[in-house]
Amino acid sequence: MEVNATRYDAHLKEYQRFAHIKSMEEYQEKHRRSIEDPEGFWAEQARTYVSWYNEWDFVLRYDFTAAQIEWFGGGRLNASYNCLDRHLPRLKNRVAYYWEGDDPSQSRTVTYLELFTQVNRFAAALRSKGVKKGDRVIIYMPMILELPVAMLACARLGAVHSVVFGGFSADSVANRVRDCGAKVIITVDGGYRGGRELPLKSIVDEALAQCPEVETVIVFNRCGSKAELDPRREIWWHEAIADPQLPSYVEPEPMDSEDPLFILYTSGSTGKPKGVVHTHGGYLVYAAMTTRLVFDLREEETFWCTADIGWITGHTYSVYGPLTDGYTCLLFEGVPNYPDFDRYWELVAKYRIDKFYTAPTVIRALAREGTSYVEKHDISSLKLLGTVGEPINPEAWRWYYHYVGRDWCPIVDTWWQTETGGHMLTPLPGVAPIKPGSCSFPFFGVDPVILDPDTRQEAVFPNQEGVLFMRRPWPAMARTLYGDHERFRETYFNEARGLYFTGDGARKDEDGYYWITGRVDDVINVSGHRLGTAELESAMVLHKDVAEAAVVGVPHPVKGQGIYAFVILKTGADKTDRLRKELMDLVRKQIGPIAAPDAIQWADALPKTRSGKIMRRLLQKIAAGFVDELGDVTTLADPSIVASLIAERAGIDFKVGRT
Amino acid sequence: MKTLIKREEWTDKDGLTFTLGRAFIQDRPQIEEMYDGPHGDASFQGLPPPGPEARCAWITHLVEGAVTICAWLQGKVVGHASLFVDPEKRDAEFLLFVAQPFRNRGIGTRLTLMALDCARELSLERVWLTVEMYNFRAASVFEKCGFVLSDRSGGERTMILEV
Repeated sequence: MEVNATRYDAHLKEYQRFAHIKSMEEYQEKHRRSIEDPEGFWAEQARTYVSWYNEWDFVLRYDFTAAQIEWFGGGRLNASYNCLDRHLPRLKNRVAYYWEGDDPSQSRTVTYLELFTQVNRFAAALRSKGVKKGDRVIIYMPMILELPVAMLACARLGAVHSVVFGGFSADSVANRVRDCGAKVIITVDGGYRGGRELPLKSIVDEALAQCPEVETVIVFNRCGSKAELDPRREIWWHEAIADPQLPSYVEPEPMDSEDPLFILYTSGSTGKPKGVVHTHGGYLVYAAMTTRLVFDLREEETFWCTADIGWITGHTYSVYGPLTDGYTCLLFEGVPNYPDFDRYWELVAKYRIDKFYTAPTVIRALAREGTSYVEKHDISSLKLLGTVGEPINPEAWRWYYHYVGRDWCPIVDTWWQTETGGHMLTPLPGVAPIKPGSCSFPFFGVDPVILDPDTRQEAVFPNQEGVLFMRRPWPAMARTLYGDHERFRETYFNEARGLYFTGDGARKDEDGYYWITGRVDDVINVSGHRLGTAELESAMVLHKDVAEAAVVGVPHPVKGQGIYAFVILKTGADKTDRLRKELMDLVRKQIGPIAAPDAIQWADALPKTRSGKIMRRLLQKIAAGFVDELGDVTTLADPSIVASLIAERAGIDFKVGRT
Repeated sequence: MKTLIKREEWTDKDGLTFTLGRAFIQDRPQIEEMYDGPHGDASFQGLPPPGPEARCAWITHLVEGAVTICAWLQGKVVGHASLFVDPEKRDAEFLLFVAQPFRNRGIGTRLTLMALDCARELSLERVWLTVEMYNFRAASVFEKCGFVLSDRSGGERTMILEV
């Protein structure tokens, strides 16, 4: 068990002078109120953070058994209005986004007025193509300004966007198009990443071949391609908005608080990725509030969240949160190591970034390269650092704190998920000392409970590890899985009656600080991205030579977890490196490059019980090399296979490459 | 084995009437239909095996090699409990699956109790199972039926019932 490390509080005195939340007492009082009087508390926040066409009939109605949650029911609002229109009187000239290209010679700046103009223009173009309230629109774009423009244009019309991360394969795109019944795709000719051109349109073409029901494809010309578009359903973005008939203003569609705002697909422990649905009112209030309070943001500051907008982190903390609040953000198209490993620090200096939010996997990858890259640049503008995606190991935390934070910046280690919409357990910089590896305390409205898996009762002792649940709803929680509410109910509300299952393990220490111990189900966390082991196994088993596959997570020094696959081949198939490569390519094609296994071990058999259940914990230990502590193997139908699995251990290549 | 050749009817609190009883080779297609359906893909600890041949063989084994009790609703299989007997050890591994829309109705408990009746009839000494650590719902069903937590290590727990 980890020692509950030293506390770091160098930042505290100054933060407690001017932070939005200035003390532990203030935090505790507000947190208590948010739990004891959620209606009063959240009504106040809803009025503070969001503009409504009309207010709600009720603040909160919910039933965890039925998985029904409603916040601000009857209230009406528009997300695009909140991010844009309402800022024009006071903030029209404020920078909404600085954009920095993958290529260091490219950058742009867009003010709230300019963003408003572009969003309206594109919304008009979408509307002329028949897009209307309730329609689902797939967006498959790299980190360019047109990505938030497309999202906000959809929101303006009341259409439901589903952004697909540019790193996913054609099959993944096609699956999502079909699952949500999207008839429109917004994409690009190509993208730039680390100096290379990514053929995103050809991935879309491959997906489209499986999606005849798609009626419109709008393509933004990022790479200057001269490609021929299919005139039956494809059109260039610049041509679509050039139509002189289009109005320059589109009235934002008033949406009910519980109308869907977006769908974001995420991996679960079984089956294919599911579409997590977020709605309007609660999500926007929570996004705006956490953005302001967790990062302690101010209007004169520049915020940089490095996550791709294709993930929930980018949705909430690069788009909806900061724009609703009227803040200024940096959007970066590129990667941390191009042209070199100091690119991030160069940008921090260039834009004088005040608050910086990234993933532990990035910190570990950059820490590996040495400190000279950080030391080359003046990063003294940084006042606060953040991490997201997975728990951060103390070594990486300390490197970040010392070299980037200059032994002063508080690090907000935020725990939350695609399903939670916004931060759940997190430090607040003005409240208390921080501990490396701990996500500190619950945000307002968040009521966690840790259940001991042996007794299924609440953990009573400090540091008692268990499964993390939530006792009550918070405004930004997901409302359903698209088209499968029963699965939503079953996955999140069926483990413990009356509680929301997070899928993560946790412990609370003697000071009340929370520590996340990792997923308890069959979901692995690779570079902060979730992948279901079942999803990976299903992909491999598609290969004609594969009889069975079992995938487990394995500790990885940069990615956090790597992907280790045990594969049983059919009789007659040869265990070659070529076949390994074929399997990697297959997984890349089915899911995307992030899913490529780090190690493939040929196995003659898997450790199974008589019924055929795979003893995953044994595989995890074998993969990680913990072969002396395998524990009880008497449940195995054939305990002798364990020895041969250990002998054949593939080992893992820790070379840090591109994903 | 005499038990459960005759199927029994059981009605849940919502008034849905299920038929429960031993499944044999002729019931195989219906079990397959359940696993092929939209709620059958919930893979639990690697089951049903992904890959068409392994899956096919596994389902066949449920009715031919193991002792399986199914629950039918209007002629369709909605769940099963199976005992994988080791005659030398005089024990059996227990496995339970109920399709998603039919959970929380008491079918799992019913099937488990019937499986334990079979275990008694077979003069088994012990029935055991493994369940994912976080599957609290299943663990509470098993506990209600008399299973006791045995091995606490890692992601899967073992529970045992001395017959």
